[in-house]
Amino acid sequence: MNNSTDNTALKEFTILKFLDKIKWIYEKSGVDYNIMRKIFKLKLIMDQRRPQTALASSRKEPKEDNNYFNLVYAIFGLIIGSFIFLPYPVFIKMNLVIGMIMFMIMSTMISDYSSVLLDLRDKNILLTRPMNSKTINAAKLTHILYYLFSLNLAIAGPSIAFSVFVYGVPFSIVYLIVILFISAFVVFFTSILYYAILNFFDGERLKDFINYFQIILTVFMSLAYQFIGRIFSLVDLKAAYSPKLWHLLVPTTWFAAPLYIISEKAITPAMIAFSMAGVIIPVATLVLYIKKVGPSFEKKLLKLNTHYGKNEKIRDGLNIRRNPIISLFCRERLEYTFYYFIKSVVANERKLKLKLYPTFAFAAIFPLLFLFNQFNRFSTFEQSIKSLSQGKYYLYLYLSCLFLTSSLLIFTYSEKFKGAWIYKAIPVKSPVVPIKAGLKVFFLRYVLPVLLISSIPFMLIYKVAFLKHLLIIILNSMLACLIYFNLLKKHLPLSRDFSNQQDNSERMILFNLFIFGLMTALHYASNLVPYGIYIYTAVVLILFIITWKVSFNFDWKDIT
Amino acid sequence: MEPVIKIRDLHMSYGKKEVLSGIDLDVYRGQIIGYIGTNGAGKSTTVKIMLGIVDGFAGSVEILGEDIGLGGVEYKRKIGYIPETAEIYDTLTAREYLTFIGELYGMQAGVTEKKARKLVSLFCIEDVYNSRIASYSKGMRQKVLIIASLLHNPDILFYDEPLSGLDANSVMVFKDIMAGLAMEGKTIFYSSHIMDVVEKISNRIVLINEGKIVADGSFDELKTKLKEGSLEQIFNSLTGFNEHEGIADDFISTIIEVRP
Repeated sequence: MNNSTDNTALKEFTILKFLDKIKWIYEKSGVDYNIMRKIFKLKLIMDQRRPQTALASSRKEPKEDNNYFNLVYAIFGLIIGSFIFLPYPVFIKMNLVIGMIMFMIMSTMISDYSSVLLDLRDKNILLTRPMNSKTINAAKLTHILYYLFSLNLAIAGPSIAFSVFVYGVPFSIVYLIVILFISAFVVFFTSILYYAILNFFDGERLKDFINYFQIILTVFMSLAYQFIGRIFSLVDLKAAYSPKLWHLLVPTTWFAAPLYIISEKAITPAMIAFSMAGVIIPVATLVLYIKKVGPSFEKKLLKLNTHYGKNEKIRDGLNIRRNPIISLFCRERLEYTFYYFIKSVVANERKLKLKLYPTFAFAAIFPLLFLFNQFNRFSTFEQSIKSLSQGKYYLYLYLSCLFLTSSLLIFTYSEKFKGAWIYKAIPVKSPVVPIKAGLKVFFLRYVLPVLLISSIPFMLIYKVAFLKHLLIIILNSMLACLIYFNLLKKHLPLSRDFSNQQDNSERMILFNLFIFGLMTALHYASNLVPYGIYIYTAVVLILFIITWKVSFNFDWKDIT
Repeated sequence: MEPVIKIRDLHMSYGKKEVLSGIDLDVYRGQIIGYIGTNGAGKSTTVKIMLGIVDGFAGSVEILGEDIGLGGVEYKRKIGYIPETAEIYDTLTAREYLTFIGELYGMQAGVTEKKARKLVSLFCIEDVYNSRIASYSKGMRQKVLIIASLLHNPDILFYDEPLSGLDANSVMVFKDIMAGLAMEGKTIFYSSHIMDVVEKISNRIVLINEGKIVADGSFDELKTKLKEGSLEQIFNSLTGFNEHEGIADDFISTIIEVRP
């Protein structure tokens, strides 16, 4: 224990020492270096006290998530590193490598470090003390840059190491410098981007922007390995590279060009131009940042929590006139109310969306991925469609069900779980109504639409005959949700804190695999018997109705 | 006259720690009860028991004639509540939240929405009616909570620091609203740490200390009985705190010493 603290203290000392060497940069740009150093040191100490996460203040997700991401980064680093050995021209190869690294760094910056950049607590604590806002902002950026560069090194580490063997030491050194430039460029570019967004829009827009970016990132990171291999089969990478003017607009060329020059020892005008851009543009962002953004960034942050109320278009989840379709499913008035309430909160809560949407994206994409794998084997499109239609590939849709049902409990969580006092303060006799409404939201708003979307290609292949299979799949997923719901503890919707998420996910996955395995097997088998499919449908329907009838016999006492 | 709230021998413990040790209280229509006490004296617990948020108490609590220990919820139709910390599903807009709350009390969505809009504009926050509550200032949030507690025209109101964050003008309006509501025969159960306000608005003050009621009566009654000039002094003497001047002096001399 003591040992580890000592180690981190030492590391912190090193970075501060390094900063002392370049303190003239800070002083030149009007930063009070001593105070900046104190703030930065304090932040490093605070990070140490939260051992699980690199920057716990920004990521409140549970520990496992962070480990998962670290693992993903490590794997990415190795994959990217292995690219160095590929027999492609160096410029093309380094463009790919740097492109991937930049994507990773940019995403991490936006998803993990945005909250540090946009932290307002600093402001209240520090800005009231005798120091200028430039200094505070500099401390923030140094903090982020420090972590981002470390992370960048971790991702680029394997490729730097491998490049020593392939291209020699000078190349690796230039590569390392390039990585530093990329980190700085990303940090300053993001700050300027946020500054610009805050200039034109309000804080809520910026938060939405970050939220959607995070969702896309999560989906991309988890699916990327499926695509990276395909890039190589799709593009003719061995073709000779001929520079075009518009390539100057692609940031990866700026950073790949110096590496080309050093490895090929060939200086062409195009490569010089790219390399120049690689130096000038990051420096320009730095200057722009110091001159324009830094001094007023903290002031702009004030807008983060304000919202222009006037003349805003009403775009909320309120349905004064009752929606006839939803009324069909929620006969009780109170249930209908809860339905709309839960729907609106889920649709608005960014953290909930961040947990839910990636899963739904996987659910929609996975059957398609499996389906497309079948295509590769066949010769023409018509032929493959024809031979697919002979098979039972629609069973892939059970993969969607697997993903969808696993997020059943997410609905019981909320960032604002403390708002749940209203369930107790209102005259609702039993917790059944809100919980039932929650289940219905989950099914009607999320499971059903996702299933329908991912069944579009199957619909095209199997035509009308597919409908009876789709019906079974929908019924089966509903039944699985319900069985699942019965096995788990009951919670009110939106009433639990994310930070102590305790659902036993391993057992959940096992159970899911088992139940959908069984359902898929039965579905397959029912095809072999005459009328089997209709008997199966009837059985599942009856099972569902029975389970539904017995599922809601609980009281306030059973709610934990 | 039947009391609207009737508490008999109310005990409550969290683990070994006894928070309430025998509360007896009758509250009548039209009263504004200033419910005061030190931090941890059991004020919030009493209120939460009456709301049915906290379970596991001993003794009996009747609200509007209904024994709440039996687990019924009908009485909740007639009560409104503002919690001390403004916890709210703030990703919703005020329009969504208020309409939702009204509907939970069985009001029509359209009717609630109209009523909420009216109240919101009276509280001068109609500009942000369609914005997320997350973007509100503290006072604006508090106004939403006040409206949410009153939408369904309840008979009893439980207010825990309802003025926090409100500006002086809004405080004035809200005080008049409370007085008016009491005139209409509604009962207000008002917990607060701000003695000046309690002194002015309540027509009955109940002071709780270490889980027991130590004083109960109108401000004038307490003043004559305890021979103290203000509610603050009454509070200090009843909770056994009399060294505040000494502490303040030490505090100041320490500060002046270390000025650089």
